[in-house]
Parts: sequence; structure tokens; C-alpha cells
Amino acid sequence: MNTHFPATASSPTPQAHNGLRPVYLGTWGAVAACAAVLLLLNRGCDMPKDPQQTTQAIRQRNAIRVGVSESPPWVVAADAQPQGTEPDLIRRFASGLEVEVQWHAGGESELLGRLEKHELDVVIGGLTADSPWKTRVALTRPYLRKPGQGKAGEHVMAVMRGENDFLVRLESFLHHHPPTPPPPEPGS
Amino acid sequence: MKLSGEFEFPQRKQADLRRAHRLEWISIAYLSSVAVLMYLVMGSSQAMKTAWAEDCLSLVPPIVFLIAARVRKWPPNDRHPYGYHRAVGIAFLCAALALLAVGLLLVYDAAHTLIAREHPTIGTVVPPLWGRPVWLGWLMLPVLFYSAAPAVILGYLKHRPARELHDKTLYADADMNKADWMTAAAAMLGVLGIGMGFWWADSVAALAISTSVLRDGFKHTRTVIADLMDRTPMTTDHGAMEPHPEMVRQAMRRLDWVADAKVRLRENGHVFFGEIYILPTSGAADVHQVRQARETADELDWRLHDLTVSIVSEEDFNDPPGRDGQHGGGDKEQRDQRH
Repeated sequence: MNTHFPATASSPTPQAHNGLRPVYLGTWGAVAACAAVLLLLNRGCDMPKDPQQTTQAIRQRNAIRVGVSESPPWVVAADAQPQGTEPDLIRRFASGLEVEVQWHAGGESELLGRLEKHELDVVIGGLTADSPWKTRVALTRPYLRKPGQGKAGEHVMAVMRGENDFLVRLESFLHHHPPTPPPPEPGS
Repeated sequence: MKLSGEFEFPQRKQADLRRAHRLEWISIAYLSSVAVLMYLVMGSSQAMKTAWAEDCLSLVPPIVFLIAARVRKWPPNDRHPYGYHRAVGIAFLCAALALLAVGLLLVYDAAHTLIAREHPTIGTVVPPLWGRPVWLGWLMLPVLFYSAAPAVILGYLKHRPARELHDKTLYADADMNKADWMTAAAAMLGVLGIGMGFWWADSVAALAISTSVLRDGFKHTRTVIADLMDRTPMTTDHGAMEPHPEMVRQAMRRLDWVADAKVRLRENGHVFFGEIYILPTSGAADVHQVRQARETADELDWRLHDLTVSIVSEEDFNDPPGRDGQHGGGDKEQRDQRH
């Protein structure tokens, strides 16, 4: 008496976007995506690159354009031959790249503005990680941390946004060559 | 007040139910770990940020599924005489709206970044046990893989319980999981694009991911709104109408005291509620026949839960109820053609 119809499993021809299409795309799409990823990885073993060829330009020019803003003890006497922790680091970095240094003195805001427009390669001047410019230029990872001051104690340099090759080189250099000797207390 | 009956999944569905629960708990644990890892490595990449948002959103369907699974078990009472089955539909609505809202935000964000020509900066980090600086992009790739591969597997595993239980939330969840590989692939291409010097690759990838999130949200919202408006039951993948109304109608007509029958059903969570209108051959029916009709219908499928049998006169059979003082709605065939 009980005519029992099977519990419905009527999955008719699948329409646009249901369980079946991702299966199809899933297999071949995954293969294609893997292939693309591996291809890019293979070609890009010297990744990351600079969208605006900063590192290349530095090599061609044989000089790195550095903006210096006076900020003792990090940058002292910002003129033809700046002294201090940060200019010393830059000199060593430049010699590692086998290029010279072009110093451009100026105020912090002016220099960072020029950096944003790619007229400079790096700006130094006692910058810290809480700089309000961090949305418009790229700040390196801190090369020195003063304890107890949070972000204001993290000392960084500034490079142009998006120039990742140059940034990685600078950050690697700063990591392997911490400043020596430790800088004297500010205000001296 | 006559309360709707309590509902239990049939025995043969219990295994799928337990599996669905297990998979959703696993999903919550796994997706939480993905959210944490992605947050740690996302840096200032727009594509990574978008993928991270989508992964966080993926937590919503499992959570609402588990909440709804509790709520729908509450027995009907005077305030909720139909029970709490709709909790399942509400759960689905939450998930869909979350997708829609966040999809909109993400599309806006990605488009804004692209138009403003912001170059993403990705530098180095020094991982805790590594000691040397490494480009953050190299860390993003394995994390993206981890965010996709188990998700795809989970999606495939969830598919069967979703179909067997006719659970739309679970089905949508499975769909989203399976599509995670596309998000990860897009984000990977975005990261590698940045590495190659194409700053726009990041924003384009973010735009692609966010558009797919938005599209999913839109599609699911449209579906769940239709369901909550008592649409006639559709299959889990919404490919077609379920055959239950016709099944029940034919079963009723096979009863010897029934001349004709009309059926309408609506989904209430996992189960169907509905009305059967019977035109008896002899102009009347007794309570035993009504009970027989109801039991025959109930036994057809586990999803038929609360069916009300109405014995009606020929006049009422042909006219839709509630049209005060109006007749001449035509016979059944004419009315059917109008649909």
C-alpha cells in the first residue's frame, strides 16, 4: 500500500554555477594555475623586481641619490660630506653595490616629497617607524630599535613605494651590517 | 493551539548529519588558522588583504550552520507553533549577506587602489627561526597554498552531506570552499606579478577575487530571499523544482475515495510544509480517510513534514481560496495555463 517514491536526488543537467562546474575548472584550472606559478617562479628567480627600475638606474648612473636631512646623531652636518650613523651606513651600502653617493641636502618634508616623485633613491634623517609619511613612501624595517619607545624608537630609512628590489637589498644590508659603534645619546 | 510535530532526520541520514557537523567544526578550526597566518604575512598587498577577508568570511557559513543546527531542534511551542526550521534559512541569509556586504567593500577597495595607482611595497621579514631576511612574497606563496588546498578537499567532502541532507547552507559552504583555489591562484599571481615588477598585478588580482565574492553573495542572497518567500521547493543546486508536489498529488489520486487533488509545498529549512486539497468522489470524507491521506503523503519522503489535508467542495477546488465573493476563476486547466 505504501507506494514509496525514492527520496529525490534529481540533480538535472547542472546549470551555470553549481557543484559540477568547479569540478571541471578545478582539475584543469588547478593544473594551469600551477603551471603558471611554476613558470613565473622559474623566470623570476631574481625576484622581486623594481617597477621603476631603481636598482638598474642606480647601476647605470653609477651613483645612488641620497636625500639627507640634519638630525643628530643620525645625520650630522648635512652638507657635502654628511657624518653620522646613517650616512656611514649608506656609504657602506653604496660600496657594496660598487656605486658612488650623491648627497642631496634639504628638509625632511621636501626630501620625502622628492622621493615620492622618484627624484631620489633613499632618504635618511633620523626617520622613525611612526613617521606620518609611511603611507606615501616605503619605510624599511628598523635597523635599530631603542627599547621602551615603541614605534618612535624604531629607526628606519625611506625609499620609494613599490621599489621592492631596492628595498630588499637595503633591508638585507641593514640586517647584516648593524650600525657600529652604537650611536651616542641624542642631544650631545 | 495545535503545534507542528517535532522533526528528526531519518536514521539513514544520521551518518551524513554527523559528518556534516564534524566537517564544519574542522572547517572552523582550519579557517581560523588560515586567518591568523594570512594576517601575519599579508603585508601591504591588496590581493593578500582581499584573500584574507574572504577567508575570514568563509568562517560565517560553518558557524551559522552549527547555530542553526541547534536552533532548529527546539520543539514547537505556543509562540512558534511551526517550530524553528526557518533558522536554517536565516543562517543561509546571514552567510549570503555577509558575502554581499564584504564583496562590495572589497571591490571598492581594490578598484580604488588600482585607480590611485598605488604601488604595493613588499619588503623583507626575518622569520623567527630563520635568522635571515627573506622577501615576504616568498612566505605568502606557501600560506596561500595552505589556504586553498585543504579548503578544496573540505569542499568536496561537504558536498555529499549537503546533497543528502538538502542543506543549502552546507551546499553554499562547500561551493565556497571548492572555489578557494581560484582565490589563492589569483593572489599568487598577484604576488608574483609584484615580484616581476608589475605593480598593477596586485590590484587586478584583488579586483578579480573581490568580484567573485560579490557575485557569490549576490547569487546566494537572491536564492535565500526567494526561499524565505515560500517559493516552491527547488533542488539543492537550484537547477530545478523538486518533484514532491506532483508526487504527493499522484499518491492522493491513487486513493480510491479521492477524485482529484491539488498540492502546494514550501520549504521550511530542511523540511516541507504544505497543503493538500482533496476533492472526494462522494462529496465528503471521514476523519479516518483524512488521516489515511495524510499518512500516505507523509511516508513518501522524509522531507514531507507538516502537511495539512483539506477536503473541499468542487467549487472551492477550482477557485483559489480567499477570493471573497468572486467566482468564475475558471477550471483547473485554465488556471494552470495562466501560470
